[in-house]
Amino acid sequence: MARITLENVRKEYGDVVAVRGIDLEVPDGSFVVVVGPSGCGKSTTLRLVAGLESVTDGDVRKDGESLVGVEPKDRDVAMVFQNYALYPHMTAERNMTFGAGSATDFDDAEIERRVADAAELLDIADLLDRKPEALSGGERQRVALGRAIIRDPDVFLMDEPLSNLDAKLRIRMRAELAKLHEELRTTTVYVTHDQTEAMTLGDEVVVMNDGRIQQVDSPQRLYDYPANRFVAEFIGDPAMNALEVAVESGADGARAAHPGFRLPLPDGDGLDAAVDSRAVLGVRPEDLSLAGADTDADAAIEATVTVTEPLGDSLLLECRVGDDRLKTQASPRSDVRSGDTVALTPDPDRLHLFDVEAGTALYHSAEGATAPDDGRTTRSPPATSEE
Amino acid sequence: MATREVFESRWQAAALLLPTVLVSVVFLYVPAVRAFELSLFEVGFGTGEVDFVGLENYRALLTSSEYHLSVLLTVLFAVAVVVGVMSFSLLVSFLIHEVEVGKGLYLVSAIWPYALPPAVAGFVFFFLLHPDLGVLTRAIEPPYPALGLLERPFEALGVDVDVTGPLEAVGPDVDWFSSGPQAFALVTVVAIWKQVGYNVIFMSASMNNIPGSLTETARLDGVGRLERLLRIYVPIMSPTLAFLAIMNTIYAFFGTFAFIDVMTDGGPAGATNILIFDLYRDALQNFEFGTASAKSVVLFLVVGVLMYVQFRVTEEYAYYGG
Amino acid sequence: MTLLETIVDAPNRAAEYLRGERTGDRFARLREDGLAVHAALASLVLLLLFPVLVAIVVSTKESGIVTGLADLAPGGNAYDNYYRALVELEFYRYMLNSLVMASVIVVGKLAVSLLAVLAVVYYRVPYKDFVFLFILFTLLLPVPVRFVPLYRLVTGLGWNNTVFAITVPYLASATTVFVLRQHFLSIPPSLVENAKLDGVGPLEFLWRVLIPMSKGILVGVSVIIFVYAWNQYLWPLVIVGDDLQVAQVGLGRLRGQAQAGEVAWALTMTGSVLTLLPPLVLLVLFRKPLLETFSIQRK
Repeated sequence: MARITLENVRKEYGDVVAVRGIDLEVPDGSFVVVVGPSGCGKSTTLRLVAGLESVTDGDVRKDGESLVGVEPKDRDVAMVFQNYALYPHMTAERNMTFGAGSATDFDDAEIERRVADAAELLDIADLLDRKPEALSGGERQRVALGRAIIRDPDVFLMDEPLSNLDAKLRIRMRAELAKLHEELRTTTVYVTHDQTEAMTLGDEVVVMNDGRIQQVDSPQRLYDYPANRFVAEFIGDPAMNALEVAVESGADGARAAHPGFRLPLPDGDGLDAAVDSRAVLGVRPEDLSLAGADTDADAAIEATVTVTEPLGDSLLLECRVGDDRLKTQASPRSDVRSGDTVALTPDPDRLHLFDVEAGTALYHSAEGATAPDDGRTTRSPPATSEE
Repeated sequence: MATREVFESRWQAAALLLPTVLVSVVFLYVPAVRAFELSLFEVGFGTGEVDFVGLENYRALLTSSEYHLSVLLTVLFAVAVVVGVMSFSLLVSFLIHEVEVGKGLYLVSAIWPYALPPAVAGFVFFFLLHPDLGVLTRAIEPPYPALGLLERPFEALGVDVDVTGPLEAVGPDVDWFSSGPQAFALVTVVAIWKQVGYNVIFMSASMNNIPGSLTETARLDGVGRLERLLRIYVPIMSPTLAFLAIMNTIYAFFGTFAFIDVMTDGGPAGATNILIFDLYRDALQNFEFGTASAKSVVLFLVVGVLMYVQFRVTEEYAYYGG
Repeated sequence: MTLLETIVDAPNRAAEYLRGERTGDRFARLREDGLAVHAALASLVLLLLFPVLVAIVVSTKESGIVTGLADLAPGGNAYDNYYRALVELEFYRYMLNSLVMASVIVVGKLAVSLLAVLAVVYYRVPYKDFVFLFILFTLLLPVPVRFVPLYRLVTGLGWNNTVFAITVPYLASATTVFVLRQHFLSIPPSLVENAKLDGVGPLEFLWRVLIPMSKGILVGVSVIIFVYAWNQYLWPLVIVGDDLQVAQVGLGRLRGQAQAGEVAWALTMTGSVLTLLPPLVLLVLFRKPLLETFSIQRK
């Protein structure tokens, strides 16, 4: 068990900067997921913790002690790779034990006992004599997990461990990983590009882009209070709609004015500062609903449906509002066709405003943005353009 | 960024590379450089004394008509071998590609000459086509008693027709012990035979990689067999063919010594005195180390230039998609 | 079916074909391919095989009696010929010498190249690419290009007429290094990273992971090196004497030693068949790894 601290960590490969100075705290026993698009520096960050790469600048600490210059084998970390990294010519058991001797102080009997325990925990006791080619993807990943577990490391480092599995298996393994963490409580840093995986697994989720941390928060707060447009659009599927509006003040409060609508904005932190300037209005497709006949037209967005995509459990509508596009989810059997004009009412508690240039969040209509429920502060460094 | 380069100890890397680098330097680079150096000297026969003669050895080569002939022969030989072996192998590979029944057996029967030791190839052909005693010699040379059978029906009809006479008049006389062109042709054939296996290995693999959909499209379009080979397969295979052209050229220059040594000894009258054999004779029969070294340098330059040209040409024309 | 499977599976497929239910069925399959294609192919393949078939037939006959096609029926003299060539005329010595030379070169080249490739692929050190190019460039320096100085160097080392002379100069190999490098580059980096995290050292990684993982390629490369070494002619011819001479060169001496005055064809052909046998057997036995290795070399 251990606490990992990253302090102003930079990594450059020649002219290419992969990690641009990040600070991160991984508490003891926690499951932290680092998520971001490919090339955002998340894997590099993991490898810096493992010691497979050395930092260009900054410090990586474990329980307060610097790891810079410490050989990977002396860091007491175990890694699980996307392609499992199993040795094809060794049995599952040999894969687990090979290297365990040099990586740990365990004697052979201890290693044997640990293999048996891990095999039982992972339900792979019957597979120990098989070689990787005789195992399914899910079984291989279990063996790889077993290999990490028997080393009893301070930290698990997982680099997209589920990405090579098919969709169904991925969901099952996700649940098993969560259960495993419940049992072992080993500090885990988990890297993925899949936001669903990040949301479902992480105690805390670190969103990275372009070598920088965009936001560190609990999954729900990432969804509810994105710190900037990148996070807002990266978390959630389909992505949050973004429409440029003018924020106007009137007798009845502030409104977001767009050629296609004038939406009232409930009072909230940051709203006053945003008044009389342009901003980007963010609203998630699932927070828009088709208005009934009796709705106040004043609080609705009038849109023309361009494409309808039946997803079975819902109907995805792609609409046009003025010159902008907008997505929304309607109930599955709604009688809407492309070409129809519809009125959409947003949930007034689920509106966001972002700075036009920097993309930073200016305002969330829901209360609570500055008072996180888990006591941690929300960090929101300035957003950078997407790559 | 995942990387294999996880070890960083310089002295370990140096120690690992040492054996290969040491052997390369001592037995390959230093001798090559020494060959260049030695080519500027005249080395006394028997005494081993050396006299600096500058470019004299090269000047001598420039004016030696015997050497010019050897260069010309070698180039001709290389062209004949490369063209010959590649067309024959392409044909065999293509036919194998076209059949289903017996494919594997055909392939093994076409690939085996890869393992054939050159001296064995030389001896077998020496025996097959020996001017006096060869197994095939009698069959090739007149008289052709079997042709008499053709005359029988005419005889029965009472008509006197002479089929045998004219054919026997033009029938070849196997005599490569004294005929230069025959000796040259024989050595070329043997050199091609030995190299077919290697070529079929690569050509078959390359042809097998061509997507079946292309063949099917061509069939639907009514493209004929030969046209399919030349217009579709060959362009797609061009990277492999370019690679083989280079390997075959190197083979023709350097890998054919044994054929000459076993079969013709460079003769008759220098008709098969290709550069590598010429070099060997200068060095170990005439002990002219200086001249031989100059010839080594020329050989290196010729092959270097040839490979460079081939690389450039194939880079320009080869289709690199497949 | 890949080309490889086709070749490896050839004997089974042939047997299966011959077991085919009805003769008409087999013929129909031949017809589907085109009879003309099969005829052309069969004659081309026969053309390739013919010289060696003749050599095998002649090696079973008495000396000097084959002078025409009509005589090409197998004789009953096989045992005598092979016994005479191998034992009485001591051709076994040449075979043994070739075997020693080829085996030493196979083992030595593999060992030396594996070490070099370990450094080239798995070490982050400066000038590495330069060293790799330096090794590759030796392709342009075959024996003839450095013939005289090499001869003088080896003589100077006092290696004349020793096994060193016909093995050590062959140990550095551009092609082996190249093929092994390509193969190692196809192994996922995470394997070595995992080893590194466990503190598995480079030599242990080579011995316990890379070599066992690469058996096929190593066998293929070994066959290629063996055939290459077995087929060396010029260098052994000039650098070692009769007692260390190799089979190919020994063939010429076999011809000379056979009955004076008479051209001992049968014995020369016997020697030829013997010399051809080892590389041919390896080719047929290890055709699968051999072809796999060639497919790497082409890239």
